Amino acid sequence: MRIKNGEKIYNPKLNFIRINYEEEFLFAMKITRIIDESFGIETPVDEIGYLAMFFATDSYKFDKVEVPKVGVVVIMHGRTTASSMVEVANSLIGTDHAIALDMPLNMKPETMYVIAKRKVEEINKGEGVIILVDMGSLTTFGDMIWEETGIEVRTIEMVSTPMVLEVLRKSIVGYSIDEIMEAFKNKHVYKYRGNILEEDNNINDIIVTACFTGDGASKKIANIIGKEISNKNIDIFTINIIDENNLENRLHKLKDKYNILAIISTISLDISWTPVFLAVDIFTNEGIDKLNNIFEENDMCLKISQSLTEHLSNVKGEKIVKEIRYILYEIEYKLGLKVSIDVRMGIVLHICFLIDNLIKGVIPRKFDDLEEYKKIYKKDMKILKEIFSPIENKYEIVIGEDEIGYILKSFLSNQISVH
Amino acid sequence: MLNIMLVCSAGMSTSLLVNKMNKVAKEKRLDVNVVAVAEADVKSNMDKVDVMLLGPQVRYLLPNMKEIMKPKGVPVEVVNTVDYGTMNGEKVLEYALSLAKEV
Repeated sequence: MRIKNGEKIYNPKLNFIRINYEEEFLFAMKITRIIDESFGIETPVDEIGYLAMFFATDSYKFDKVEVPKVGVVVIMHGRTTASSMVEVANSLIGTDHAIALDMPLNMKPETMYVIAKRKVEEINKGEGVIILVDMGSLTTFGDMIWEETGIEVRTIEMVSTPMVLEVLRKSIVGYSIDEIMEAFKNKHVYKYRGNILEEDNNINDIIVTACFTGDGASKKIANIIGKEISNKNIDIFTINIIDENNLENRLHKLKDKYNILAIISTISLDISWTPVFLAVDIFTNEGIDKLNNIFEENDMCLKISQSLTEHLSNVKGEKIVKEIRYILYEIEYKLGLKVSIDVRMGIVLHICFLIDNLIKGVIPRKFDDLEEYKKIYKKDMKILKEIFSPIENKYEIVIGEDEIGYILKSFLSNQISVH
Repeated sequence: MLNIMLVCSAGMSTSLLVNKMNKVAKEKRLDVNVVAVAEADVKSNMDKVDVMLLGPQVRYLLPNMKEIMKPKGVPVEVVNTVDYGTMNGEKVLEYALSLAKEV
């Protein structure tokens, strides 16, 4: 048609094709001769180049760079459930990208976990991995693998074939893990964990559940507190207690990355900087009440931090309030006392301004009768100084004894109960 | 002239709130002056105050301050935590004025 109308077409890669797809090019020339003779036309050599590409099976590689794709793993209970589902999805789409891991009913969750973790490490190309699971302990694997390997893993529960198709389609085309998960945002239908920040400035509120792989505790806990957090932007993140020695380090990493509101654990943990609940406590009304108080306080902190962002010049409101919140819990824990929420908020504000002022170089007020106070409360002052040490390092400031004195006084004078 | 005193431990957090309160007062053309005073300086500034407000972290001073200020007819209360935390000058000023009216 084109040729008959005298339209010229230009093939910029003509030479490339001629050299690299020689066989196809020669074949196309032969075909062209037949076409030319049949239709009485003269096919330009550029057209022959394009024709040649139709015969080259891997021609799509021409313009596209091999984009690393998000990994897709389907893990389900049953001898062949996952394999069958993956076979259908892969076949319908025409790929082999999705991987299946079958978990026969007699397999222990711990065994499956190790296999899953290895597989994730194997297929990760730097874009993260989405695991699609059906139910039970499998739902907790994603967070744990992420936490242990550093590879971004997202989980989709209650997986079905259409879901696998959707995820697979998007991953092959090169969508990012966030873009793929976007479609599964509605938590009521497809629950997913390990929600990462959309913007860099957003610090996610999370509750950490700590349990042994597959003991099902995390699932039960999530069900119970699910109602309390359903209308809030709080995620549940599961951590594996198996490696107890490393637990503290791992929690510290999470502590920096997220705002850990509370830790709910099946065994007793010695954590000073955030409230720790035993799983059994969550099953009581008192436990739920305490949790709700924590949420309320966090909301207040959020309001304060947002307001502070306007007023503080040297620190980021949300970040610093989060850091101070951890510090206050640590102070209460190590001094063995508690203060009311109002007092805590007041102290948060005080410390925010203190740090901002110190960075600015403002010399804070002296504490009257500091020497006296120091003598009486020597031990407590030392404890506080230690607790503030990381903040001092981070913001390159020195919190002097006068300031430590004021803060200590706020706690001691307002204490409402002893541990 | 209504003198409002805002008390906190070291004057760290109150100075900003005080500025905001004074600004609101000016906009509303109220004959009000708000000052921030650290706990240690309260005693020396007690003559010039009509309403005393305490920051939440020095609420432990409430009983003591009430005792001292009652004979002078000066109301003493603790500022609402959220208003204080969000540095809501307007709300805190409103509160102080309402306390002054009750006298």
